[in-house]
Amino acid sequence: MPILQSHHFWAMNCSMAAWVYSDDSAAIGALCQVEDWMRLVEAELSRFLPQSGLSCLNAVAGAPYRAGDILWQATSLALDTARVTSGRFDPTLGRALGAAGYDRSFDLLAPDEVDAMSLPHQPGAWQQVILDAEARTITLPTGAALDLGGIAKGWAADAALRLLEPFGPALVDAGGDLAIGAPPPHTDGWRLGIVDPLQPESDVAIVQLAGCGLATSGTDHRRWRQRGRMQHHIIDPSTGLPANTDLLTASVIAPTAVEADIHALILAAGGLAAAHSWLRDHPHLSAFLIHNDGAPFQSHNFADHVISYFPIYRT
Amino acid sequence: MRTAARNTRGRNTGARALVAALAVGATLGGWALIAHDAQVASTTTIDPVADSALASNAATLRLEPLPTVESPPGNLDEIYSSQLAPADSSALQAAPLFTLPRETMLQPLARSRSSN
Repeated sequence: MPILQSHHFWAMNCSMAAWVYSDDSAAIGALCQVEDWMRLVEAELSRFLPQSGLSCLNAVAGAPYRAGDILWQATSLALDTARVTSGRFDPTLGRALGAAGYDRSFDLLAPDEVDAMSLPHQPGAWQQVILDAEARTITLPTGAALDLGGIAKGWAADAALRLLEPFGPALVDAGGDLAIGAPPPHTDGWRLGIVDPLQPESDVAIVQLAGCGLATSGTDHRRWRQRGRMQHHIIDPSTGLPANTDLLTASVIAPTAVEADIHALILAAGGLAAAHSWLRDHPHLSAFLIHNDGAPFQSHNFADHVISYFPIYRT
Repeated sequence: MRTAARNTRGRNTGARALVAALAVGATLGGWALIAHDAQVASTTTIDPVADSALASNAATLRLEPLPTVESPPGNLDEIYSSQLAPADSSALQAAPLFTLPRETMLQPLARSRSSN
């Protein structure tokens, strides 16, 4: 009789968890491997660890850098995604994030004031990144810096799910980016909440999902103040500045967690009007959006996944 | 569960390398999927059948506002007291202001939130 086994841990400055329904005692080992995997990804892709592969790559921008497997795979995926999305997703915004004040792990940011040198933005710098598959080297344009925060957790969650799936139906939560496996025994899917950004202890909707990804991106989290202005970590690739968006959060259901992660980020940065056309052009996505004024919106197909909506009180 | 899991945790580098190899290798599927999506997207712009499908999607995949529920007016104590059964004091219970479907009372296992 499969039982639900779980493992909770902290990585990438987020709370993470993994679950698997299994009667195999080895499943516990697999759950621990998920933590090991997340720590490996963090050690290689963090912008804030000076010895990470990403930091070393950014430090030698302009010259080829021989990348390890994780950095190579993640960078390749990020650049491929930039091409597919015509730059709506841009992994070369590391300098812009630093210029906006997000230049250290979020828990180390000063609560009120951050000051940083503003550097000229290089729109479309991702097009100048050179990957040499034979030599396994990555060359960034001079002055550019990679930031893989927009895909790292979703990508890592998808991979972690593959570690657990041989043991039974599994679920991985990488800081709110969810990789969702086969449904639990005798159910149609995993019961999952979407956090209300205005009342984070509550959910705005409960959905039931299996075999897909769910991710949320928004300006409600990781805010700081710079020179008297509130800043957030969603950067507009065209300006290099925190996006002037009318959306508080965007939650997306997609075939994988990394796809959900990417599209949630694009929707959150683009705002409500742009979301209409983006979702029309990507009909395989389902989306749930919260406007800055608290009003919720959903794509028509999102309702197919919803078990219930919670009343949203706006007084 | 957490304690048990930690006690059995493997610490040799060989196991960690296996984790990395498995996990990295497994991501190739997701990568291919995104590339596949790009291929489909480029096809739809030139295929009249796909164009009509796109037009159909435009009709069905619109964003629609959800209704919001206003907080009930008035003093909360008054609302509760007005819903108490007056005759049988032994059955006194505060009635819920709103009744949600039964399934909403169950906590979700995980919650999606922004944290990038």
